[in-house]
Amino acid sequence: MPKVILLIALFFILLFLLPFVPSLIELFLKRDAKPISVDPERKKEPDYFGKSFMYLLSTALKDLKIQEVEKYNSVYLKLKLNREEWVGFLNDENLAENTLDTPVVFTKDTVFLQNHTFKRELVVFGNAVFKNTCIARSLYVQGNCIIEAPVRIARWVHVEGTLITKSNADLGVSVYTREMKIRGWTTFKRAYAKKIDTSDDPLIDKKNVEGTINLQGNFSITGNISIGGKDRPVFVDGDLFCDGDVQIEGDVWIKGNVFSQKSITLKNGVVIGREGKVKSVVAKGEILIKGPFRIYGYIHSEKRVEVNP
Amino acid sequence: MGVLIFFLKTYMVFLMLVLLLYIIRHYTFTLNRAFGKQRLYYQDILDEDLPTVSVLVPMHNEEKVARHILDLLVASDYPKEKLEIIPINDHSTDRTKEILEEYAQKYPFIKPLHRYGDLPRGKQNGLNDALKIAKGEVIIVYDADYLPPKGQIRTLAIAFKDPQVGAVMGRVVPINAEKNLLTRLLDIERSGGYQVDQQARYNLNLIPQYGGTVGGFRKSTVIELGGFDSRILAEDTELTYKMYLNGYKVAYANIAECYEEAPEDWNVRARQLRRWSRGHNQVMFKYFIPTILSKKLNLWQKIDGLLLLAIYMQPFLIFLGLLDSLLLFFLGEMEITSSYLFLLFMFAHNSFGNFAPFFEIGTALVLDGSKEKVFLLPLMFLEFIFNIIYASLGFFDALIDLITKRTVSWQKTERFRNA
Amino acid sequence: MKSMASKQAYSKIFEVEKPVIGYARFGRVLKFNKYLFMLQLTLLVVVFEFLVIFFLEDYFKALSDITRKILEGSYTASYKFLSFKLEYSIPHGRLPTLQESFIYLLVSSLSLLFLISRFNPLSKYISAWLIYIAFVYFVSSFYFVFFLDSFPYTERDFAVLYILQQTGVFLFIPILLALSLSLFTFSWLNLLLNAITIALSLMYSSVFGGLRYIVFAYTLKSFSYIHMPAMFFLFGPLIDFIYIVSFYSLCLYMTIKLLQRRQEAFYQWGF
Repeated sequence: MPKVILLIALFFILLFLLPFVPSLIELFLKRDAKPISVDPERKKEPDYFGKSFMYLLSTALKDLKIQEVEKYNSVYLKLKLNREEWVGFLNDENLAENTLDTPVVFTKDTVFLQNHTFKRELVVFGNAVFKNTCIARSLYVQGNCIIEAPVRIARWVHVEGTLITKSNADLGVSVYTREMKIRGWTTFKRAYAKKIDTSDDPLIDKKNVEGTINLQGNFSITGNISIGGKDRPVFVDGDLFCDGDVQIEGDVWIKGNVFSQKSITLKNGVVIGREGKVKSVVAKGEILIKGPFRIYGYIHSEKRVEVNP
Repeated sequence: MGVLIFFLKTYMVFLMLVLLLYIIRHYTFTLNRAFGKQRLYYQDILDEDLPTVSVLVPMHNEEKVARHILDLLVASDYPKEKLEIIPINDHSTDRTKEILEEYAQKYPFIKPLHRYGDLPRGKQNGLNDALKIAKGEVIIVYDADYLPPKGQIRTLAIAFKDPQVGAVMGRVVPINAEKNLLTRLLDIERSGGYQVDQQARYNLNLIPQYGGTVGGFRKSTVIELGGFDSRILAEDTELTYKMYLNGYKVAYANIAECYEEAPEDWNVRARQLRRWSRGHNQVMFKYFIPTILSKKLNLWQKIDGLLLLAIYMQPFLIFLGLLDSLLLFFLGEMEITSSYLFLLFMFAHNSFGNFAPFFEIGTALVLDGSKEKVFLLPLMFLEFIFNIIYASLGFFDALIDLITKRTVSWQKTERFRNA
Repeated sequence: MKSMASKQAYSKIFEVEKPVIGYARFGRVLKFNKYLFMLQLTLLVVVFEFLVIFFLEDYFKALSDITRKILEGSYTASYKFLSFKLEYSIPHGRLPTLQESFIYLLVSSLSLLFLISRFNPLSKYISAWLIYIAFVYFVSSFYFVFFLDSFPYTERDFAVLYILQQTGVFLFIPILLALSLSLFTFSWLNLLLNAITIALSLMYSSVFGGLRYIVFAYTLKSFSYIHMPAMFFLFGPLIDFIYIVSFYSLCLYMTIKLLQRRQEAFYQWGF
């Protein structure tokens, strides 16, 4: 065999093998060999964000051997939360700074009289009242929280007591509270509370009504659905699953869940779930709530929930 | 001779069209999964009225893995008063029975079903027997080598709140991916198959497949539809078609990720592939015509249903294509009627291979956040002939099953985990 | 308000366990710019197909010249494909002798028997490939043992078939890679990366295809037509597919590396 042919044959074999080189390197070096990580502890928790942050904070404080933060005067501590950072422990509600770059913990009941921007988490060990415009990344309140001036939260809100919004409020991605009273225009993506309502008036579940239309069982609807309780009250004793838009208006009581692959509109008197039971309203698109409304449980939209009481 | 050549050429054209159809299907899936509207699964529904659930775990000589899955099921956050676990001990000859009894003593909601004596072996037979004693409204099935996360039973069971959902399927992830070449290839294939293929079929309202594990079904519906056919090895695929032909649907839960143990040995993989192919093709023979004639399926569901049914016949068709092209070559017809067709032949030839094409797997790996894993794509070439051989053997097995109506015996996949 | 000085008083660092927040991989969707997608798809296909068509005749002319120089006894001819006149050079091939064919038949049959026997210690995926190779040689040698005189091809037919195959590969690369890579539309960088990938694949293909042609032509001349089926069924388009996928994976890796640093530029949330 002439040398040149031998050379060409060798070169041909080399080129044949070359495409496998990156594969073989990866096969032997195993730079990305592990399977995707599946968390064995994974479960659905509506209070996940607030709980995780407070776990970080309380563990850090426990390590500092601070049992009662209230005893301390205003102080900054360097803690390792997700990363090493300063955390302010304040008890002065007449805070001079407008913008705070670190996580801030108020150690007692606090009324926010001036406008502030909290670029990180805002924690209040006590009750919180917002009387002036405030922006925060996240908000944790150990007691009750009343929003009386426009407030914008970017990430999560966790209120152990009752959350009342009397002014415009953008509550970010996730809200967790014991009870939520929405009395001003409010928006968020998810909210969980034993009771979320927009009015103190008795709605259909607390009224004596006659001539109701009763629908029993669970429903799966391929297109859009519109339920109106203007003329006669409607009781749906089951869940509602819909591929299209859901529009419910008037005296309608859905005792189960409402789920839509598109948007959901709930207007003027709709009640979801029943006292003591957690039920959900879940939509891929927007959820619009207008007028008197009440849900016992959870509202979740991949886009936005807008409440206009 | 002329007739033979015409026939052979026609087959090549047919094969090209079939393969082209699969490529279009997979490309559509890839586009849809990467950019399209994603259909919401039911994971975000919080509801205190959960259905009662029976978790069935078919087991045959599973002493190596039995404790792992039982410990994880015990740790589940599903309310225990609504949960029962039924490990199905199918003629085990190792310590499986003792292990199950030990757990049953400790946990009252673990109720093992021991199957010995004349009872016919096999997953489908075990499931049929377990269905008779299961008290749950919803049945969740895990193979014994699976490692379910804490909240997964709730994630799967919540889908049955929707009355149209007859079955639900989660995502399978090989835990031993880094072990060797085979497990690494299976890892990236699974990624393509679930992250892109299954989710896209769910998005497009086509036919996501119930896979027999990390999934579940509504007990009343399955009983109403006659349980599992003991002569069909792929009880999961059969259930998928039964559901759709009767107006129910299968929900795909991409969030319900669960580790499994992938075969680490090519012999074990060969047996598994042959068994899957056999079972799947049995289902194809049984449901091909009913799928075409069904009034419950829309046109796209029918097309997807038929292509899904024929997926394990595809390697056999390619095998015939290889024989066909060899014959045509020696008959002097390599050009296949014209030069243009030769180009098409090449196009089809290039697209041969695995069940999920490279771009589908590539996109899935990007979605999964993988990096260097993408370098393994060219190595899928190594599986090409292997898949053709063992899937074709499975096809022949199913063909013989169809002709002889013989009873089938189940072969378990060997486990590799250390106890 | 406390000053920075007071911060220093409590500068002890305390480690706590980082919470594991499983990112929502299940709901990811890639950021998609449909205009960039269409632009990439159109531009990459049109430009590279144009380049392939533009250089097709020159490429085969160059290959023909090189072959003529390297392989003694080559003659030159041309093949008319559509409006292209594709030139090729090839030396005369030869038919295998009966003895050669018989040896190949024996070796391939014994290999097949061994490979499917239970004594085969090789891994099943390797065996599968070896079975395929042995099978192709078995069919080929069987044919030459019994139907030697009916072999329908000459080296000229081989050259024409090879030209068609290589042309197919050239035309196929921009379409396949543009279709699979245009999906990534995170920035204009994608267009550049994808164009480089297709250009590299075409360059690789022309060198690899040229070398393959010379090796095959030499094989037909020196080792007979018995190898011709293997050239199409083993080392044909199937092999081209490997480097195409390899270039795809390389480009994908670069895409991930360059753009995954900014995840928000990469993913959006489907649900």
